[in-house]
Amino acid sequence: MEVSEEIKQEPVEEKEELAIKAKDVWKDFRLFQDKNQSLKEVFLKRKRSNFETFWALKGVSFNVKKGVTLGLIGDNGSGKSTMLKILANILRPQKGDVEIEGKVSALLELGTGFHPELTGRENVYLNGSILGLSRKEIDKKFDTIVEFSELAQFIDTPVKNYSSGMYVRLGFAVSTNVDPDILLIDEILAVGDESFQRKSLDKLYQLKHEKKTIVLVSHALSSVADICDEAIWLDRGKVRKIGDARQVVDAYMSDVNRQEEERSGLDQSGGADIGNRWGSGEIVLSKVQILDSEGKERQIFESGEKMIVRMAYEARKEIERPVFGMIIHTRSGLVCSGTNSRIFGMVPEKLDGRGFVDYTIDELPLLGDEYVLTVGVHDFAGMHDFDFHDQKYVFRVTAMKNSDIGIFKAPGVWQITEE
Amino acid sequence: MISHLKDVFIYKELLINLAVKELKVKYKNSVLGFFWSLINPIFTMLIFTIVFSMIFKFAEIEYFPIFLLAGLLPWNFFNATVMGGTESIISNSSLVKKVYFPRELLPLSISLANLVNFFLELLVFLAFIGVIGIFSPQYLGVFKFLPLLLLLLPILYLFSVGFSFFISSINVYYRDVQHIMGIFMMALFYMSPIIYPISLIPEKYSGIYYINPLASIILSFKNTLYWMEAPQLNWIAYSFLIAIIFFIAGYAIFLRLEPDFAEEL
Repeated sequence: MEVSEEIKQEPVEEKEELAIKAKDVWKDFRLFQDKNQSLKEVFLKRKRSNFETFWALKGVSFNVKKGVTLGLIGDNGSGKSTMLKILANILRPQKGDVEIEGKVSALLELGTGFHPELTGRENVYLNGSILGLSRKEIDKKFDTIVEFSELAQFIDTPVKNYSSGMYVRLGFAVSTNVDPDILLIDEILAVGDESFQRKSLDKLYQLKHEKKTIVLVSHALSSVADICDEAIWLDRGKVRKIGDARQVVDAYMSDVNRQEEERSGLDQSGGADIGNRWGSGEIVLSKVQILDSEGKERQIFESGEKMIVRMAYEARKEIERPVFGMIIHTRSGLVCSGTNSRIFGMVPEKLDGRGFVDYTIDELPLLGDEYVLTVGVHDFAGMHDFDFHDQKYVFRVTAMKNSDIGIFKAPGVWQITEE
Repeated sequence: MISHLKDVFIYKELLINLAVKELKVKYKNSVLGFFWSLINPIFTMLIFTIVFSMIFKFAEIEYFPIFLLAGLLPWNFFNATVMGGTESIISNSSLVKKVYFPRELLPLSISLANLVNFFLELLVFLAFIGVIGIFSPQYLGVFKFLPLLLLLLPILYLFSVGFSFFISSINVYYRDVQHIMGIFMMALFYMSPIIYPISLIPEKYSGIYYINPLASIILSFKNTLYWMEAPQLNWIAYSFLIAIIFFIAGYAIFLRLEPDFAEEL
């Protein structure tokens, strides 16, 4: 799987179609062991302190056509934000060229440049001009900005008295009304409360609709897959994959899953060091596995996939009418679903020796998150636990092909009937 | 450098907004607000007048306050521009790291804000002249010399801004600079003809004395605003040359260091 996949971008016939052209961009950072910032040391040591060079970008090339929304994804430290800062002209590349056509607005942080002592109104003007707007242009947009921020009654209050939510709202309102040709966005979709996030997402769709060129760095992969037309997966400073957003996100996700499984795949079998286990032990669940449709043990499942919970049992004596159960919890302990074999109507009169019990979920209805599994075996009345593994098994669900929110998918269809 | 100056022109609106912010923030939450710009030089002048005309006597100087203010005005501008500029990049690091705009706007905005202060102080000065003119009408002649400021002010401005460019960009790399500057500025203050007349400098040292370019600039202000004599043309030319050199050199260094500011901060 370590092959570097690269889908060549189609050559662009006309140059004026391009908004961004990055060619072989290299960027290094010097990691100082003990960064000295005093002249004394410079004179005494005759050199700056020791440093290691860390290459954040190692020859990144890509083109962005006008009107395209591009997502930059990758692990922390893969160079996404560095690339964005180079596009924003904040950092300069060590080597390579970046050509940009049009007015750029970078939203690297909301409310950058707000001065706490100044009022909301004064800050709108200051911030607007930092982002390149003239006074007249801000005059025109002022009402829209205030309306969007929902801060009309506080607009003449110094922003130091704002709550952090208000601060962010005003910042976003200014930044997105700058009317740039190219918008660079770093993780701002992750700030604010739920309703603000939705609002900013709406605004982003609107800008996309207006055919703005957008480059966005995000860890919210499902949003990237939804909003972006194209995506670039950066891996340790290199382009690992470039092309259709959904394909790139899928490739990245499966790589992350694979790595995660490699890291933590085997601590599943003996029962991890989490949760509790109790019971009288006449019959024990000697091994608990979560399997995929091919019977392979896995920890990561895609929403809608087949998932089998397999409990191997060992009965030390004959057990009458045992009941096997399982519960799925969220990480915070909320019970998502729980069931047992008695409810299902499958209760053997007697069980002895070894064997295994499967609970098969044909289409996993859970959405992307981490979940914890409880399994147990008890007597028919549920009064006596033979063996109970409380919240001992962790598994993860990814929802790459599903943008629903929440913890489970309520199956349904949409229909509009016009009367 | 020319293209960078063009960039600054494009961003003139931001430059003005930053300067306005500087002035607003300075006096926000203070009861007297803007009046501090007037009160400060008045009290500085009072203190120096008491110390230097009553304790150390430069007897031959009449109307010491005017004599003093004539030198204090350009000095205050220089001092505030350089000291404010020194910290301007660092104190706006959140901006520098997150948004692109020509970085030179930061020290420039400080200089503009101080230019406003300069004119306010000039008003105080002229009001003073007006009062003194009641008793010694010959001092009203200063008003005739005011147009000369159109020549002197650009020299002072270029010199101060050039110096501020240099210091502010170095300060990003070595924070010691701002501490050194405190001492340096104090030395420079006494090495310039602000509180004493130039005649006190022994003839044999005057060559060394004028190595300090600020001395000749401040002297020109004094000659104009106190002695009421047109400064000699060769002095003006010399000062102008020095100012241009400082400006170009300071700006060149600034532009050279500027692209890595975001990384160093």
